[in-house]
Amino acid sequence: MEGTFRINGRHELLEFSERATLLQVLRDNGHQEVKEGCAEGQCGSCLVLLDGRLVNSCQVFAAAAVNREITTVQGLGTIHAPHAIQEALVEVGAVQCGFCTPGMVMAAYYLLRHHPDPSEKEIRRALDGNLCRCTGYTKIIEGIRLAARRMRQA
Amino acid sequence: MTEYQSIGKAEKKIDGLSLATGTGRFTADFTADQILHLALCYSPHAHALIRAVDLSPLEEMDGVVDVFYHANVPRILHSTAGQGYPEPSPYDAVLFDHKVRFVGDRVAMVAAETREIARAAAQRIQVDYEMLEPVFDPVAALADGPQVAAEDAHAVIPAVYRPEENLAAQVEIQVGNPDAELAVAEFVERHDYETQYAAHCALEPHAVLATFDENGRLVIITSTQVPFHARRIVSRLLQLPPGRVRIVKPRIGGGFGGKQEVFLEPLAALAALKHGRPARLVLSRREVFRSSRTRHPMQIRMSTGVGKDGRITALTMDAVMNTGAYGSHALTVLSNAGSKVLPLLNKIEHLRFFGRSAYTNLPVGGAYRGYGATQGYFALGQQVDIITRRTGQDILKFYKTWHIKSGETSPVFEALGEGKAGVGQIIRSCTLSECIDRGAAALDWYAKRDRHLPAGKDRVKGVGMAVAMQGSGIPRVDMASAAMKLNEDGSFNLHVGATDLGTGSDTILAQIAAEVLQVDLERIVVLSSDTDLTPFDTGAYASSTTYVSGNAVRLCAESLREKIVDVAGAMLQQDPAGLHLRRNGVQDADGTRKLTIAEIAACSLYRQNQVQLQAQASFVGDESPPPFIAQFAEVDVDIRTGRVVVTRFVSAVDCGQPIHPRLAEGQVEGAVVNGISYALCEEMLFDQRGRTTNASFWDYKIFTAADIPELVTILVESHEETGPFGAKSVGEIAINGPLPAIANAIVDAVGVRLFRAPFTQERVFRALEEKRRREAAGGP
Amino acid sequence: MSILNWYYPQTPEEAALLVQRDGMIPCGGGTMLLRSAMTRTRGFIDLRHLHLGYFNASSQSTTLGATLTYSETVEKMASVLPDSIIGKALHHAASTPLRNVITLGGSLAAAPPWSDLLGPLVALEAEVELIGQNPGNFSVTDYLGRSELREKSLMVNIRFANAQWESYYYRGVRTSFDLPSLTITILAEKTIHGQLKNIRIVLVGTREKYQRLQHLEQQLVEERPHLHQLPEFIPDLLSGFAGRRLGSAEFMARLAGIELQRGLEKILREV
Repeated sequence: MEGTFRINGRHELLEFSERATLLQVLRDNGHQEVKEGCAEGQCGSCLVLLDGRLVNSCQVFAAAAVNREITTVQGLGTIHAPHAIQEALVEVGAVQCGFCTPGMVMAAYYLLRHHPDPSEKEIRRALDGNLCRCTGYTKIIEGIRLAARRMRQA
Repeated sequence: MTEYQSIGKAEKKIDGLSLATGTGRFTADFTADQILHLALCYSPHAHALIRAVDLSPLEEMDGVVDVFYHANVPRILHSTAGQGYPEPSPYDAVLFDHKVRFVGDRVAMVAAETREIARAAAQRIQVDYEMLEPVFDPVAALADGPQVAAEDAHAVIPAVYRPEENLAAQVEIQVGNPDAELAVAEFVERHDYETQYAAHCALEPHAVLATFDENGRLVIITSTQVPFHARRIVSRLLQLPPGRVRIVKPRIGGGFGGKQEVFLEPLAALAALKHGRPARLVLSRREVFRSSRTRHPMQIRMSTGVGKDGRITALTMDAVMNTGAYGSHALTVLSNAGSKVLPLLNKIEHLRFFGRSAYTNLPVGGAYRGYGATQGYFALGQQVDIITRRTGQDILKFYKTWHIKSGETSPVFEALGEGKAGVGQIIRSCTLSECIDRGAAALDWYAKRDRHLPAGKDRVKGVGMAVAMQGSGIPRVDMASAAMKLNEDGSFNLHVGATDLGTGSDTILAQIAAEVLQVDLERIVVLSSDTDLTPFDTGAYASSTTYVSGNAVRLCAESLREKIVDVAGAMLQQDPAGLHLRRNGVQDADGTRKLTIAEIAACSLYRQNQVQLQAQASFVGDESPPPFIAQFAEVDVDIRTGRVVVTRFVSAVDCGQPIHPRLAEGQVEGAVVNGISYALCEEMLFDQRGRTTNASFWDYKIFTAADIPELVTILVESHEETGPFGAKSVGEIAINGPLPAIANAIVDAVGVRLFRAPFTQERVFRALEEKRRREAAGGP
Repeated sequence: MSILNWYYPQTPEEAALLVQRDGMIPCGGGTMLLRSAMTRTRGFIDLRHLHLGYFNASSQSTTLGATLTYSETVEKMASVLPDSIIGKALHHAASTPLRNVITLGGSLAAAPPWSDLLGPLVALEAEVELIGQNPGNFSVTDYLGRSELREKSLMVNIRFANAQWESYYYRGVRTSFDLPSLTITILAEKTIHGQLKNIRIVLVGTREKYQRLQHLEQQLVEERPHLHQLPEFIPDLLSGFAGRRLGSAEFMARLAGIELQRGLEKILREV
């Protein structure tokens, strides 16, 4: 089947199978910034915004995402025009292998859009669907705090 | 203290923004035209012979291109361990065998036009098995278990290897006369400790893409910690000269030892070569759990003799390690349980380490952060707590009195190395006593120890600590190289064989080069881990990168610095001896005459005595300076349900001069959280037929940000004179403390000791019940 | 793999016809469907155009549209009924991104043994409204117990009466993002003098889909035990449990007993 998705502001007409997940369709069509770590809704590497809601793209059928708005980490910022969250994570040393980072950035963005001044507890809870094996999360939490401060001042 | 311009600074990790924006590419992000998708068919049985493989159900499937299995693939014995040559791990693996040895052992591989077809086809292969009796318990396997390994399996180094007895490795060293000392000791503590099967859980599943360059040479893009070993192993298995193979390591989504294993690259290469098409194999999470590698479980009986004065007079370790179906790292992980543990308390005069690795029909062990030391410290860390409690000694003072110090040595360094005799060394840097003091202060140790402070209804607080050391590479084995050249704008290309798994090694190696050359970090352009373009490096394992690869980079940059100064001398018509590098340039002693690096580069490339300014260097360590760590856990324990929550965890580490303190802290924090998660809930579970029952993140839980305690990480600097700018390693050590420190903290809180990890709620609950029963019966 | 079609009905009536065809599965969030083999599935009915994401709260009752996600439910409940057991339970369910996908309808239809929704709905004695082959309102317990009700039916909403419940919710997990091996839901209603008038207790994680402890409920209301007498009332749950992720059957039973007692202490102390 085929359908149109609005991905990072651009309309894309894509072909996909009836059973395909949104994650598979994104990755098969050049959106490799969305990572596949488990394909079972547990690791958070594939997080995207679907109509503004943070979701595991591996847990959404592509057919159910047709005609909807999808934002990937590249929709927030690119290497030439990074988002404050991306910059802050790099600055505090929260990026190690970086495989989980796009998903972490999405989760942080979703949090800060709803809670611009989150407590430490709120940050931790907002990351409850993201696994990271490298950092021990401490610097990720610190980076999100830094980004929040900068975003509030901006 | 020396003032550095890049060392010790919070430089931005050079690939950080690329990764944070999703630009950085991992193996599975690479595509190619006409790609063949590969999928594996696995054994559902723990131990069986393959009588026949029926491929007829695949005949009607569109898009199936080929199937590889034992009947059509050459049988070449090798080790998948990804180690140096000759490997200390036995040659007991083949690409596909007619016998399967664990649930998850591979039987066949399908090549198809899509990943879905490949996976569906792999499921449809009909295999006729003749069941063999399986053996799961390592002690039973050694006693009289059925032979697991292949008949023709063999060791390639001189080592004890008796596959007919399921003995994959045996290590024995003795110092002094421990049996005699134990016999005359004031008292002996003898306990059995057991650690569990655990999974690495790197977020990126194992992946490989085998493709071709324009000249038809094989190019393998792969998620590996050991590109050069991968090239060697692939070449041998496919009977190609290494020069016909290029291995490229892109960004790696975490390794932790799991990606030292070279077990997928040959398969992708096999399919690509046969069909002249790119071939890709990406494991699912379930496959990673079931069929990749694990942390070897270990049973350790530790006996310590204690004298009247409370000192340990003799210590013996009897270890049985389960290596699973193949002997990957069976010898070296086992050795490290002794070699990285016994030197810590170097005043113990009588020691023995006796270890055996057993083959069983369970998943395969492999390298895993900590590499045997983690298993060994689980025993030693609790044993010291037991002894100091029994003798009423302050555990902090005990460690400070007896730990190895600068200028001291241990006979174990020389007696036991990586599966063979080791290399003697004298410790040149050790600030462990300061680590103990500062860590204790950060936890407020003395205000909490033995206080059983309440933490709410039915909940009691406790604190525990443990101390550990590791190494910095394998001395006289690990070799690293670097090459550099100067460009006309004053930038440098730094080419290293070293493998950045996400640790930040590209960044810290660039910092070392920038420091030697006194230039800004942005001027160092790093290219790493490409067997065509970068010089040799044994790879990212054994905590070797900072020390071994870092020293290669330092030597290389120093060599290039000489050449730059020489050219500058000629340009300035001045004796180079009076010139030095400073702020992206060269200047004389009082700074009156100076040239920029760019001016020097442009001159040498285009105008005068034209030459490419470049250098290369290699480094092999003569010693392996250990980093040291003191770790402190604070827990609260629910005395009725056994639920343990770690509320605070302090690590004070001596890793020499941290090249990049934030990245060093990150190594510690990552290892600590892995360790805490490992201590409390991680364990691979098997049913009675040897099937992994929790092969998913739904069932095998690891900690998230919502679960972690408050982490405090203190870098206690020392200066290791043999390390680059005083640096030692930091990658593995911090995973050694959580198991014993948390076990000790549980004892401090509620008086029950867990000899078996992980400390699940049920295990703690049962231990508490047992204690209540004993107390009710009037026992101790 | 069999052919599978997607349907995007615009009205509940259209969906009610579709769901009565063979092999049709309503798809709200889809997370449970992704976990199943779907061998007999011929089509998915995408529910997004049906406007079933509504939330109506009157003084008497609350109605939750079937395609409300967990997170939407938590947000809406927080603004209207901040102490609701539903909000308490779903707030901790799954993970932040999964709570944005999992719908009430999908969750109740699948009713996995780790559901955080089940205990609260059973305790609230909620009803579901179905359309399709078996249209009408049914109690949640009927819906769960009678598979023929679920056949070829589409859940439209879930409704429960509002009352001044005091509530307690326990979930037995290994880490924060874990499927609970055990949940305990307690709802209690008290007289103006603070005496226990009515109590409902539901365990999820036993061998049954859910277990309502009616005998205990009755004893507590009739005999009004003192806190220190509670242990005598806690039933022996040993035969009720199977081994779960959190531990063996025996441990689960013991844990359930302790946590049940704690929940009751908390509820009764406030009496």
